[in-house]
Amino acid sequence: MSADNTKKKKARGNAQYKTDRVITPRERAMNIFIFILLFLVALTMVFPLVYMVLTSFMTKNQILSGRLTLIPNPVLIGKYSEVLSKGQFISGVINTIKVEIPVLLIGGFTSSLAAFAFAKMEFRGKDKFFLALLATIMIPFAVVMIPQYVLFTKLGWTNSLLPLIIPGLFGNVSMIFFLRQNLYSIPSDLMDAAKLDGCTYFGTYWRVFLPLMKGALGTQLMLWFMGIWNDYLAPTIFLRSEANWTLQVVIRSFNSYYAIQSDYALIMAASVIAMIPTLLLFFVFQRMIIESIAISGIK
Amino acid sequence: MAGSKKVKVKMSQMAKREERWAWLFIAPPFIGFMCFMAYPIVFALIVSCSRWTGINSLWGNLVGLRNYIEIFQDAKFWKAMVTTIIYMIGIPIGMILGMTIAMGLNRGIPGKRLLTTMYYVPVVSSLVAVSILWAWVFNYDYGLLNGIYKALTGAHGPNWLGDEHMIKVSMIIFMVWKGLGSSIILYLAGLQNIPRDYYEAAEIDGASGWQRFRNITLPLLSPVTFYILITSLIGGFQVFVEVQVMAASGGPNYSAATVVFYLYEKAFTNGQLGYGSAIAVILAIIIFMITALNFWGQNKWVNTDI
Amino acid sequence: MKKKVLAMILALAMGTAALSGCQTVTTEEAGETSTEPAAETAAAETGSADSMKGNGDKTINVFLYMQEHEKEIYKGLIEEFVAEHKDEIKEVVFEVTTQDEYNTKMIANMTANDMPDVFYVGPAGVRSFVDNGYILPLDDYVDAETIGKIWGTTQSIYRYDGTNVGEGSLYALPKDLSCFAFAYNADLFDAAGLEYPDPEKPYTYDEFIEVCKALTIDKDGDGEIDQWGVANANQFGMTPYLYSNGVQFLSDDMTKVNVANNEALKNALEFYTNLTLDGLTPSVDQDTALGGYQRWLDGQIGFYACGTWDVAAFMDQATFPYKWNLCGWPVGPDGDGRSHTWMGSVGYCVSKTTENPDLCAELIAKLSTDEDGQKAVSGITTGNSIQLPNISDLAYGEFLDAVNEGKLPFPSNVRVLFGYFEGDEHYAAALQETDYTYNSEWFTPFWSGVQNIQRGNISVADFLTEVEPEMQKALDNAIELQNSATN
Repeated sequence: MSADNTKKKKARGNAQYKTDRVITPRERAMNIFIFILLFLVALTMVFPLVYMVLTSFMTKNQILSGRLTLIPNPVLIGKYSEVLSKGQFISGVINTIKVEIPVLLIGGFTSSLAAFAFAKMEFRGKDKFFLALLATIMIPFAVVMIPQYVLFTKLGWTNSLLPLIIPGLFGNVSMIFFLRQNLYSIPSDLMDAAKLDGCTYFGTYWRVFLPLMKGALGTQLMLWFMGIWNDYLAPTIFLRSEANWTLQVVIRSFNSYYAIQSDYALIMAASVIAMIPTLLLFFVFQRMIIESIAISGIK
Repeated sequence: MAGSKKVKVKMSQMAKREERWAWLFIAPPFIGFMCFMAYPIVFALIVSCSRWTGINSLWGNLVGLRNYIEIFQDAKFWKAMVTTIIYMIGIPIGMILGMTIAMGLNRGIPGKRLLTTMYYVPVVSSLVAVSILWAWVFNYDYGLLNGIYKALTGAHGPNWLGDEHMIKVSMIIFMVWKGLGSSIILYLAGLQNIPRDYYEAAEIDGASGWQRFRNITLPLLSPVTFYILITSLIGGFQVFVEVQVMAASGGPNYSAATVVFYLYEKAFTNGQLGYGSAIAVILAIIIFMITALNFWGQNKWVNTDI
Repeated sequence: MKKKVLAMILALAMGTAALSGCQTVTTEEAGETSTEPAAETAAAETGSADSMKGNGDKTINVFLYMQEHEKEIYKGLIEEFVAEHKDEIKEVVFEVTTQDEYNTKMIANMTANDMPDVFYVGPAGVRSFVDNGYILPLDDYVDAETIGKIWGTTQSIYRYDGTNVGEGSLYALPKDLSCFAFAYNADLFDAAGLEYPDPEKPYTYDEFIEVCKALTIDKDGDGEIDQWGVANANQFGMTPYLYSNGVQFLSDDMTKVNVANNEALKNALEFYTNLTLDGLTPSVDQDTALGGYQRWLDGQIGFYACGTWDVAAFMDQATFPYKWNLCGWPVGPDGDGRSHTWMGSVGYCVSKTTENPDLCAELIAKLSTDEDGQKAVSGITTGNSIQLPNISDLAYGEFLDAVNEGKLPFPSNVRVLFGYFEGDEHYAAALQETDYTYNSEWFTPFWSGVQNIQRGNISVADFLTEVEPEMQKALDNAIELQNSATN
């Protein structure tokens, strides 16, 4: 077997797949070495979370003291319950979820369908259509948000969450793009085989390619979820009543205009709580993202 | 594609049918676009030809292409544009790091799920916390980086956020760090699609690690790389929040500001929506040209079919 | 494995906290609960807390920005108003957003032709709003007596006659009037054996330098200065020094930028930048590392700016555990001998397209001048001051009494603020010049470029010559926008 010491090891495919290949002690050592390396780097990634949690236990004085200290002294208890007792916070979470669910479900469907068409079906002007779609994300939101607000006002949607939901139902260009790319890696023979079997186009999408896209779909849904969860600007501009505020708007409202009056511990506690569901979701979703799909044995 | 001469090729029934279904499938995003983007884009184009402030009259203040001409002579605009392009150095850095880490994670090492989640934390973290933290890391007197620097060299480290040139470096570091999690999971998803058999076959044939990487992994990851490249370019041209959060007034001598940051300042702080819209239009055109160029060039290096 | 790791980390964190002998405090002990929980839940229980309902048929939309603690007080006022007009009002919808986004949302509303009935206007915006037909003159709706109660300055900054701001019809009633005063750390003065600044006699430039020199020391003897006489912030904390030297950036008609040949400005700017160059303030690099504000809170600074909005924070022992008081900005030789600073304000106005002008005008009169409301926001009744009262009688009367009797935590030199508000023999204040132009873009190159002088990279004279064309161009732009075609 090849004995290479290069750090860049090739993907061994998927971990679940049983292999009769024996992992040599050398490779095991390499794995552990890589794990340690990656872990150290990962620590730098996790830093903000650690800091946020610690800050949520600090008194205002300590936070504003300018010097960054890591251990809360004294330890301030009660910020988390304070956050949760603020009715606004909970309603912010609920509103955000009210937006996430329809958008991800329906938008995910329309996006994956479109991606399937772009990647696996033949039609005239395919590339030009795609480029046109891509053009829609080339305009900074700042410039588009005011006319969109005008539109939503005329439609009477500003008293609800609709401005955040309806546009998303039609699909997400980044998602379509990524799924399209991903589908390129899946052999087109599957398409031909399905056609030969007399499958409808929709059927091919639904029964053959959608399951194969699971990993990519999961990844993109995760990113889209995060995008909506963290979005601040659109909800602030489009939503009028406090009752409709989504999570980030609520957290921002905890911020005072004058830094000195901001309750940082509260904001950090709120941010930590806001992160927990997303991290949990991610941890769970990973199964879908990282699990491999065996694409052998087509013949 | 047929039709190089005047020979008309009739599409078969099957092909027409496929085409119609395809159009149906891609209809939703286009309908969405027509409903929610068409009017705003037209509106933006009109506003860009005016001296509209949001408060005064739009139609009474149309000035043709004057804003565009002024932008080309605007030193601050070009400064921001240069900064924006410099920030894009982070794109290849992020891609290489992301791909490397994804490959490492994909080996089947223990704790993969935990590690991947850890890498994703910056993406989900609140921007407030992240910026406070990095402001400390980069702090001239008390910061982590300068602390390490002093320990290693005994000299005072650079002024990461206060120096005109260093601040760009700091911003790039910050942006790469923030975006790493996303590119890692994107590459992971791409790596999943590579059939294991290919590697085994190559190993049997005696290919070295590097050769397997260059001839299997890299080409088969090229669609993902292309995606990351395009979306990073489009996103890179529109960087805004990071600057707002790390260098609120644009940095010393405006050295950290990006084009969209400048746009915001012009449009919302200084009430010049017309000028801001013109900046947006110019930006969109530039992004479009670069993207189109990339698409045209993708045939050279992106694998679109197995 | 993940579960074990997580458990380990948690245990470690708890352990460290316990081991390091940290005390723990609850939020109540630390005084850090943001609002009384009782009020909060009560409000939540009455349904949607941001709309107040009555039995009538009229709806009023109020759109403002405010801090959390202010919201409670103003909500209370609105509820009172609804109760007083129960038979006319169906609902008052109270929409609040953050200050940063307020402007953008207002523009969005204007574009959509969907204006709220009551909203804010700043002094700088009065001309545009009126010229473009967005707000109502209040003369027919608010009586002279009510108007007469508020600070004289606020009566004039919201007046406009079509050509000049300061005269003509009244278009807004103030939410507050604030100014940017100066403060000193009394403990540092004690340690240095210095006499406190006399509120009746602000320092001259030279006297100020002497005092700062005495306050700039190496406290811990490690060879590095760690206490400075003063710390300055170029964006907002530079103009008081300049104004106190009689500096005017613009010509009287506000069309020409006059910095290159401005002797008073040159002298004042040299004085200002020399403070840094001579080491009486932290250096530019030190300032980026730790801002003046933080240093002041940390007790490293002798003098620092104190806006009326900062007072509450500085009075809070947990945030700023030092004895301190207000004083005047130093006075330069080229001015009128008085200490000058800048003022700020924002006012409530009524939309021109409202269907209920009488009710709206009454509402804003209440928000602005209701005695009980003003007593609450100024802290006379609550013991916690958010702003100074808008009613001048209240300020000189009950407010001053409460301060002198110690019932209301406030620096004893509060008369400095009154002096700035109304102008007397030692003090005067005015809106910044940027409040009279369409936007403040022309001032940006100036304040953002001063740090180059402070780094020693350019001389004051060269800077002033260099920056003037850029400022003029931006000003020309602003004037053009101000005079652009209206709706």
